[in-house]
Amino acid sequence: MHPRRIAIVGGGPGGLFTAWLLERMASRRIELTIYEASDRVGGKVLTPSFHSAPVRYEAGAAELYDYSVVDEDPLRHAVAMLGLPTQPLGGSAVLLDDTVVGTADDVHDRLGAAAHAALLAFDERAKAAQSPRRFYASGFDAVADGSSRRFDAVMDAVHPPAARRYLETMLRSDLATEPCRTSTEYGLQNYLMNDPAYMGLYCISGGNEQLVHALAARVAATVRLHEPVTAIGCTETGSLWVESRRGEQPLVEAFDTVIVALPMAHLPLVRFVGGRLEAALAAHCAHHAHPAHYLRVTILFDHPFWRRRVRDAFFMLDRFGGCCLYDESARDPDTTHGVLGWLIAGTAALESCARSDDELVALALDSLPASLGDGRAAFREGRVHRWPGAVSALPGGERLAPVDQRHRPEPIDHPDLFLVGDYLFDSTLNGVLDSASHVAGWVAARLAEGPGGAA
Amino acid sequence: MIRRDAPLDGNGRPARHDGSGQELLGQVRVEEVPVDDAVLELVVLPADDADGTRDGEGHEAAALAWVAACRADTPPVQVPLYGTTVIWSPSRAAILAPHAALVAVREALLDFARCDAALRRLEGEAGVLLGRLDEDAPCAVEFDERHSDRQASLEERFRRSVRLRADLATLAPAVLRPPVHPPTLAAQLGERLRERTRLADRLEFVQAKADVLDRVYDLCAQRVGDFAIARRHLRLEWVIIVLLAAELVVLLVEVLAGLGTTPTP
Repeated sequence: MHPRRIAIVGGGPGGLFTAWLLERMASRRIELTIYEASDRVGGKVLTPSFHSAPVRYEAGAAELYDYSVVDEDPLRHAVAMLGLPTQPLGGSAVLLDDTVVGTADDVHDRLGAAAHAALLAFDERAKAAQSPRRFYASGFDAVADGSSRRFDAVMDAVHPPAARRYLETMLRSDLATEPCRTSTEYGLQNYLMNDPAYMGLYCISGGNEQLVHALAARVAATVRLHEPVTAIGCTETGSLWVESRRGEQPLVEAFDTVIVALPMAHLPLVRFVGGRLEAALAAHCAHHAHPAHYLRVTILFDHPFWRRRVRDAFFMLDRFGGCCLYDESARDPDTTHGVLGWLIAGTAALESCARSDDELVALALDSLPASLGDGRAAFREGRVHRWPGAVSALPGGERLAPVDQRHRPEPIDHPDLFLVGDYLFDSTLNGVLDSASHVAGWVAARLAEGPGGAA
Repeated sequence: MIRRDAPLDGNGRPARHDGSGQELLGQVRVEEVPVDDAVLELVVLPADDADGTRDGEGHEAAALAWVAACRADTPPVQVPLYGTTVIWSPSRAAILAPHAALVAVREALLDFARCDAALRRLEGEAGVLLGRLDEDAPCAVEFDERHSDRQASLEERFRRSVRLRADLATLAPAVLRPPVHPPTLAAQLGERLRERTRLADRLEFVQAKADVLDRVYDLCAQRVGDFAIARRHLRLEWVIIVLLAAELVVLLVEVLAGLGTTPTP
């Protein structure tokens, strides 16, 4: 019996998770091939080091979400199965006009009693709208909001302006887009994720890239680096083919199953051949293309000068339209250096992408409040990573497609072509694992039902 | 609550003058606050600047040295948070906070200190009981006349293990309380102190020890009870035997008496 040939297009966390799960679930022999356009697997999970000192930082996905406080957490379970140590991340400070607003008491003392009352009212409204259980299950629901309201309508109701500014600064880097481009539900979720009763945050000790390294080490697939996929189609006999490019040379191979695990922004770069398939993918892209943007500026300093005022693992800053500053050096207790990572989001990130690295590093240094300390005096090296369109802003008011439809765009003529992606859930590593798990289980079930299967 | 005024330097000795001629901590009030069955010496130092940018590093170092000088078995835990610093060890603690936050931070610290002291007491109690476990465990399998002199001590340890379980059940809600959101300064400090001292983990470990103690002393109590019942039954059996024997003797006497008399026609 020949093994079933399965192609996975994309060597990011979605592709690796799918491969790992498929190898564990398949009831018959499979032969996996992973196509990756770049020179490494891992995609948005990237933990490089600076040139001038062996100090790590997160250049892509900075944190993992811990839902185990509510219910089973597949990602937490997978990380434990892979034997990776983790550490919690926490922070609640917002820096507004060089003032540290760290707690609700600070909101009262520094922004006023009205702002404090508005914050408590917003908090009450968010919690009334979504229980921890509903928050946990939100990615699987087929509805985005159930109404046509967008998050800006909720923010417009927040008075006084100081309270609104505080909330917008706090939420901006999580939303990665403007409130007018996301749903009420998604906006409130991004507020509630700060409440430990809903979820926690953690990272992998030694860098989040340990996760993709651990997955890659356990997957017996053939990984083809530097080999972008250019087209996917179906033969007259019903089997799928994948056209890739190795150097200048085009290659075409046939597969029984093809799983496309590409970010939303890269999906249009692949040509899907066949009238029905092309139309289905066009509809899929139109439904899910709500790009949200990130840009990371990470700077190495001689010492963590800001910790005299703020010691959180991350804190929010009212610059770049509201950005998150990660104290990357807090993740490594052995380093004496200080590392700050600016996570710039939304329109500010997209507009900043055109600037040079030097300009962006200078802007980041200028954005540091004077009271934190003199960043320029301690500056050693700056790095920039651009992630335009890397995540999805769940659209306001639109209904999400059912989970099966999200993952198999054309079930009639192409029942063995699947899609995997974080954008199909909540644009997080947890979401991409949910997506990979759904597809791997589905493919494994089809393998068992098909000729030579266990069923 | 006892209050005493104490001039204080970094080593807990009377404050001296620094290079600028100003007293380092000056005349501070040391409170002695009962926490569970221990006493916590507490110093509260109001900060000058609500933003935490006060010239208080000298105060902080002196307070840290004073707390460390109590030579507790654990080094002081220092939690700085948005302009407030709490330094704690089981017998001494110091708070450096803006005036407005002092009351709430003090309450949060004392609340934590009560939890920690109660847990320490229970950890000690569990340790003492576990130390006698090897000696007592055989009685969980068999208890007879040879062990009867240990009945009172076993009952005492059974009672203490039940008390331990009850105290743990009382303490658990305070240790495992849910985080406050939106976070307040006092709640954040309490949570961080609980995290840094691993209260939840320690509670779990003591509960695991209490599980073992429960099992052993529950079985011991059953064996002691079985033995007491068996002994009562044995006594009853002897009483019955004696009564039957007495009845037999009486019957025998009656029969013999009947043999000695001539029946009258």
